Amino acid sequence: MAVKKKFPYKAALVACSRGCPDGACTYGCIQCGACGAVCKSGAIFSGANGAAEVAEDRCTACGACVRACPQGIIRLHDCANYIVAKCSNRDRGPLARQQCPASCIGCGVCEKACTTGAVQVVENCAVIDEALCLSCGVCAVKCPRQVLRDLRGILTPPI
Amino acid sequence: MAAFTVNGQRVTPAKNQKLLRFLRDELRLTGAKDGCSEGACGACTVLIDGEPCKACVPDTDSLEGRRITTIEGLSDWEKQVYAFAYAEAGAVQCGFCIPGMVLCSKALLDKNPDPTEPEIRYALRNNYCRCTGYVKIVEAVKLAGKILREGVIPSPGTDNWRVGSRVQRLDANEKTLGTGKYPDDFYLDGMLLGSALRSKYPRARVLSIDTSAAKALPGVAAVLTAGDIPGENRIGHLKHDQYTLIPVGGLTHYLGDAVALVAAENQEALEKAKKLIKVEYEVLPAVHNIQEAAAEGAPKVFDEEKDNVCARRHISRGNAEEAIRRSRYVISRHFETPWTEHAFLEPECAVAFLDEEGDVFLYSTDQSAHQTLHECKMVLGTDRLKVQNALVGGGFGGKEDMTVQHHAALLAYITRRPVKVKLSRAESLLVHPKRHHFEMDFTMGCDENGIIQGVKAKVLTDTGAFASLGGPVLERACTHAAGPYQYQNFEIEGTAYYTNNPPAGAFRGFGVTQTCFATETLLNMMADEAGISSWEIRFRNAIRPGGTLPNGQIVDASTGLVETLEAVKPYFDQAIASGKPAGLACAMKNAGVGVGIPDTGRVKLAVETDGKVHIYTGASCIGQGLGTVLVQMAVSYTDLRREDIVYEPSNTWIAPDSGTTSGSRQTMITGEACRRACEKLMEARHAGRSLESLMGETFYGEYLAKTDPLGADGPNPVSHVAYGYATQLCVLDEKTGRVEKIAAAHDVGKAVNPLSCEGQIEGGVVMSMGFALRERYPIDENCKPIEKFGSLGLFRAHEVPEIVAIVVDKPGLNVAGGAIGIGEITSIPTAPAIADAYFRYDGERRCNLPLAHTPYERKG
Repeated sequence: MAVKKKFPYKAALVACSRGCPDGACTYGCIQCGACGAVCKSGAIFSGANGAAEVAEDRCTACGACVRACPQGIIRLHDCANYIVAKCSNRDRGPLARQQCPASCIGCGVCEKACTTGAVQVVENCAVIDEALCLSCGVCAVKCPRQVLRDLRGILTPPI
Repeated sequence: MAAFTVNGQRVTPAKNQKLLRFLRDELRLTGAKDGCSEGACGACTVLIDGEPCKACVPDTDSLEGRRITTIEGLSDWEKQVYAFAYAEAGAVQCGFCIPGMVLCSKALLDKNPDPTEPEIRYALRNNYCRCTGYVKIVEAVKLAGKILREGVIPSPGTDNWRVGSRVQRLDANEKTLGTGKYPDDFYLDGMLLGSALRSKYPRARVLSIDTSAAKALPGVAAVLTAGDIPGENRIGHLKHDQYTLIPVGGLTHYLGDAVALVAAENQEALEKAKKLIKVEYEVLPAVHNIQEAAAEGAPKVFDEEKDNVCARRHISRGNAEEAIRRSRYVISRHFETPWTEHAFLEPECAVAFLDEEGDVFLYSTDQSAHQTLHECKMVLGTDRLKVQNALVGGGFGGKEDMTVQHHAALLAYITRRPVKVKLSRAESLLVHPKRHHFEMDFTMGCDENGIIQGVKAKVLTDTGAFASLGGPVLERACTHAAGPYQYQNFEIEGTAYYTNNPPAGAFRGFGVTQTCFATETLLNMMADEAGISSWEIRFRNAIRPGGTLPNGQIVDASTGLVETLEAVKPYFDQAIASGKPAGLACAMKNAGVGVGIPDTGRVKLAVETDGKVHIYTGASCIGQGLGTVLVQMAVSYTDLRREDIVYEPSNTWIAPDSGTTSGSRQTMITGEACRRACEKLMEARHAGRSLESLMGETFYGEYLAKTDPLGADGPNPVSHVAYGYATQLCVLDEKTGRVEKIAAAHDVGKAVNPLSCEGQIEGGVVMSMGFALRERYPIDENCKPIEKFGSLGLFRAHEVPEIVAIVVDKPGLNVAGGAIGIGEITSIPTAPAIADAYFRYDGERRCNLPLAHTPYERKG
């Protein structure tokens, strides 16, 4: 974490793991490259499915990509919270399911499994309150859509 | 089926299951503790490819090719380092969270050999500890890092085991490395699993129970109902109103009431059998709160009672009303405090079997093995019973009542097979008695100098579904509501009501936590009226040696309230000088049961064939460090060395009954019994007897702490043999409004082990920060507690402020070398101190807990 300024470390997080250049999903990453263009530390790269991803060990949490993203799906999060929600689709389940194989369908399995009340489905999409999250990953293990992910690649496959 | 390695060994589980179940049930790696199986507590933390993971979360099928490390898989060097560091730092109390903490420490230090304190706190933050307040665990990680960097384990800070020395706890090693056994760690041959089917409704009449389908299920060994109980159905500490099983025709009292018991070969059959039991209920209206319980014509919680009043207390000395009427300043306020869950890390568990003598033998986690024996004997209707304390993973008052012990004993007695009964975390949250919800109206009168003239109060408590210790808690709340001050006009009336909520009983502070919040808040308001500081008003009113408490008791020379006030003064002055909001509160708490109830400590020293002196006492160590205290006493009051002394965990057939671990009593009461036994041993030694020649002999010590009953005749009754005193200060960060520091000064008499005393203070303060700021135990309209373990609001490692633990070591009474208990008082003045700091911060006077409008407030 050489470039990090201050503990506790923060990094940008893209709430999408797939990317839909064909526009089926209007909420997720459109692979426009705006984030990568403003990143001074080369922390943004294109993930396996095309969506923008963040190399947390390079990110300085300056927030430039957060401001640049036209979809508004990048935010800063606490690196210690390695369980994250990787979708921004707010459409109802059946529609979201058609649009993307890795979309949140708002089924609420995560919300029920969470012992701290940290995970909630808001507007058909799972979000994590990092102040409450205990990073146990029970939501990630139970998520049928691989929306909730372990960034360490342990409890869920690596991104 | 996935293949992976565990501690270097390649394994392939035959069926998919949670990793924790595979580690514990199949590999018998019991260092990973099962504290919740919900991903919350962290006691089952293991490393997967070097990263900390809660073993209750992943399925074994998802672990193909992974490398799992449990506490047992640490190298010998690592084991030595962590065991030393955790013991030397005083980080180990009940120990249930510690193996998980060690693995978090290892994951951190393997990557970052010299972490900062915030980095350490972040590394531990997903794991809960309820005993230590995390302070000494953080110290342990720092020390472990240092040792790992330098490659040398230093000598312990002291090898002097005399009273007053900061020795390492004697059970730290086995707890740190996960080799010590809690009841759940026993896996006996042919052992059945037992569990209770609980009532579907908080208040209903049981019309019929059909167990035939459950009995017919393969793998089910027994299904029992009330008719199968050979002895008494109703048990309890004092009042016998807790049903072992609700009979047909009987009334249920809360959702935790057991209707039937099942024992089965495995968990699947157990759960299935419980679902197959058909119970017909006549659902009746429930009693949800104090107002409903007290209402005219209210439904009765108990068929056997004439109304819903569990206990009533009225205490009056002097003339409070007249004194208040003549006071210059008078303030009245209504206060409310919430239900609180103990949240000890180890859920209730008991293992029962028939021993070679044909007796029912019970491994129990409780606060008194003899109490467990007594209540289980009643249920079984036989004396053929033995109880042995396994390690106890925290209690705080929540393990004083029977929850699983009597059920395990009954199932083993009837099936003639070993049975383990363990509560799930959700059951634990429902079943064991909680801290009482209090509603209080207090009026205080002071003169122009802030001198208290009189206090009058009325308190109502919700004691839930059975009495438990609701009566004594109410009594202690009332006797201590006056506070540690010298004034002579005090009147209080208290009533405890039965409701259909979960039961309420003992919880660290025993009612005083609640009434102290009211009294101390009023005193802080009074300081403003009188135009003096919150420190000055306490200094003026403080009880001093030779003074008379509002209960009439003349306090002795050991009284150290003023010393605790003086100890926090520099911190208070510094905070005021730098413009920081600061709040103060004081407290007193009895050590020993008191009020005329026989309170006896008993210790037997046995010289055994190994040539060592074994300490036997029927007194539970629930994590506070009693064994270490007694060994320190034995070293101090005999000519023996530490190596000559063995501490034996509490049992009921060799160790004499030394009362419940309650009322901050064991250090003083059992400690004095130990000192007396040592005296007898030394008589033999002075007669020239060597240890070898004493082999087979025992030396018995007994101490009766004699007190006067409540309302005794005479002007100055002795309510309690000793009191501890404390002053706590809360300082807020004026910018963020978060707690920056808590300074806690405690008069403990002679500190037997100052390291342990500090641990009690830090843990008590953090527990009460939760009580003050965040912890809740809401109950819904079906009388069901809503929260899970992870949403109770317990404080986490990275949220804990600086805690300055000040042990005021003032010579105490001439018993137990002057030691006075400290267990409970550490949690008592914290909430009012924090409340006053927030008033100084934003001008809002808060009379309810948890405090509203703070940065810690939970949304929703």
